Amino acid sequence: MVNFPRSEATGGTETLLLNVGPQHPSTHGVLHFMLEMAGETVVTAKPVIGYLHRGIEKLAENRTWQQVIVLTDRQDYVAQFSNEWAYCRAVERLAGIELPERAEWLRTLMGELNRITSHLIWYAGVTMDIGTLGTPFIYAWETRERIFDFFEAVTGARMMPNWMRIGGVRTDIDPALLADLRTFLERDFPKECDTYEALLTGNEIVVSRMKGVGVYTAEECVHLGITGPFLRASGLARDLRRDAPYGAYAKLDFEVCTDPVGDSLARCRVRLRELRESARMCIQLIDGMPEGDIAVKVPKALKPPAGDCYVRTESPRGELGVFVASDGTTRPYRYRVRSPIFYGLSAMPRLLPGHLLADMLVIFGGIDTSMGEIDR
Amino acid sequence: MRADVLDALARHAATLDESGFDPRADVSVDAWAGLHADLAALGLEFSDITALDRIDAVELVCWLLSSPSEQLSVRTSCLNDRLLAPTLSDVYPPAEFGEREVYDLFGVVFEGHPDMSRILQPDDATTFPLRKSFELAETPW
Amino acid sequence: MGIVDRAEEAGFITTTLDKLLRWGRSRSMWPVNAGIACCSLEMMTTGAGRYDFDRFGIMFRSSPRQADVLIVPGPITKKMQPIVQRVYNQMAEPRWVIAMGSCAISGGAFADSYNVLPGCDTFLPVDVYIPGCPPRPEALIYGCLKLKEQIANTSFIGSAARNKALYVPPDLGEEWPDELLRQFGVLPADDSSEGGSRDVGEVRDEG
Repeated sequence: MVNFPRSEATGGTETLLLNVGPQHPSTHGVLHFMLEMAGETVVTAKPVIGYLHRGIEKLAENRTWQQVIVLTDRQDYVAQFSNEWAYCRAVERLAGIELPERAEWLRTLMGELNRITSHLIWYAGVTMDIGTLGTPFIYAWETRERIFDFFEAVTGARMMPNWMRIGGVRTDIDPALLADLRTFLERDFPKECDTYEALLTGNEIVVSRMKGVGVYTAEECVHLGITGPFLRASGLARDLRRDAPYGAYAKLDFEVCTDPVGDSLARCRVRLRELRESARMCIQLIDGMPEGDIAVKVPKALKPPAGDCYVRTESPRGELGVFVASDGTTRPYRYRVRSPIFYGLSAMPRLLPGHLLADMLVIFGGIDTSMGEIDR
Repeated sequence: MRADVLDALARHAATLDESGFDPRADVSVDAWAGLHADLAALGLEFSDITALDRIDAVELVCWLLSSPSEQLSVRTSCLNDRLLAPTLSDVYPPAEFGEREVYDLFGVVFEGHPDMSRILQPDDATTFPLRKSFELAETPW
Repeated sequence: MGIVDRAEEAGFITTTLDKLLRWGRSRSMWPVNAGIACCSLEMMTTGAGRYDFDRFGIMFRSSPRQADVLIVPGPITKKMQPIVQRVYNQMAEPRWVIAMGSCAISGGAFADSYNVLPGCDTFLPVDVYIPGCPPRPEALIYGCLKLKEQIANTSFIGSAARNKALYVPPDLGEEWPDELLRQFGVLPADDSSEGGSRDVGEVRDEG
């Protein structure tokens, strides 16, 4: 943990209360930081959240089990498929539903594509934060659009697919679409990844802004409840896709991307490598896609037996846990989301003090926030 | 289940139930903080803290990880007339936010918490919406 | 351009100036870069390469002081409402509001929630509603072009008086809760005797 002597920073002068957000271009949504500043140095940082609290957990108790999927899309609007998947897995575990293999593979494919689009949004955001106005953002968004075209062709919606169902998926994917996607991922995507790397890790200014900024050890991160790429950038190879495989991950050959350095630049490198790794997994998924049903028959008035269960998945941001409880009726008794960024943000008061204001946004960009998931 | 974890559970008179999806340990509110301090010392990691409304009580549920793939829930129950529990935020720093959320949505107050204030709802909110007694307003359609 | 906005009746100079203003304002709508929820991603998509908002003269500004259009891209929660109101109040006249997506129109998928307002028109004067969850970028462009038409076809003569009659911003009482200020040492730990006087952290004038 960072031990920052308060007296040294303030040096007897008055501190200044600085509000960053909720309407601020670098907070990626409606996050609000109350910072106590001594000159340019952060003395204390207090995240204020809840500006997007829509009460999804309560609304879920007033919907049927299937209707909740609509809410999970909107819960984290950057990683919609990951959230649908986590919820469906939890309910399937509770109700004891086994999926056909093709459904698992289709879900995994969409989950990995979603990881690519989510990391691209992180890439656009973090580069905007440090002042590269426009260029990386435009490149990242164009690639995202190409994947969104695929999402739209498969699910009928660009952003809110509502595609996974309890017991499978809603629509099958046309082989021609898969072939198109494969061409894109194999031929164009690696080149685009080269561009991203050139614009980020190949840019001298960006490197000097990020190198050595916010170095945290894996022990600190684990202690503070940080998961996902932030933790992997500190050298700990922890990834639920490998440690507790679900979907089709057990049958895929992939590498858990880590970096021993643990600074902001390492977090960028890990995410950029995950882009390539996800594309590689998608190609394996397309090649090995089994034939068969895409869903099992599940009663419309689904009534999972009374009880509760907790399921963790690896979302693009870290460990996304879903806790569902049933009382044997058609509505969830409790639906709870363990948001990786919620706990990532809770570490910020301990991680940020001692850093400069400009560095604070770089470090904060490293956890890749999505306010919808934090506030729910 | 690891033997040292079982020992710690037995020391705090927790009842272990392994019939469900994941092992669960029920413990009294008084032993809540002590048990978690022992489990944290054994290297268990914090995953999530949340609550369930049991109508006459609120059940606190804390998910711990004994390894990246194994999870365990530790639970305790606070009766409605005494919604009070000791805080875990000194043992697990992330629990600070989690407990604030439980307070905000269920009304359980955590003793010794550094900042027991609303987190998701506005500061002037008066309700605890995830209690079953709180009903959503009817929509006009 | 106070001459036109405050003019009581239309004369040769005011109508000519009015035409010029309508032409200019309708071709350079600058929205605030205020993302709230899911729709803000589609808003950014519209600003990115493929849909290219800039070709309509629509450029996102990060400061509400420089902007004249507020796109509300998401559900307004009770905690967010004073913030959106404040962003709107900080914008200079003339200003327009676009309610983007179901949530900003009526609360959308969260209409029955305890923490979501039934639409941003409960406290803002909305000019254009764009339905969808979220609306496609094409829909946002269409909505903005509708607003452009509206600006180009609405006379500004006497609009200052009209705006005043139409809409009076409520008193916000925008202050930090004492509790937070005390935590940051802005207020002394126990200030019950001082009657809440605060010299640091005072919110500046909102225009």
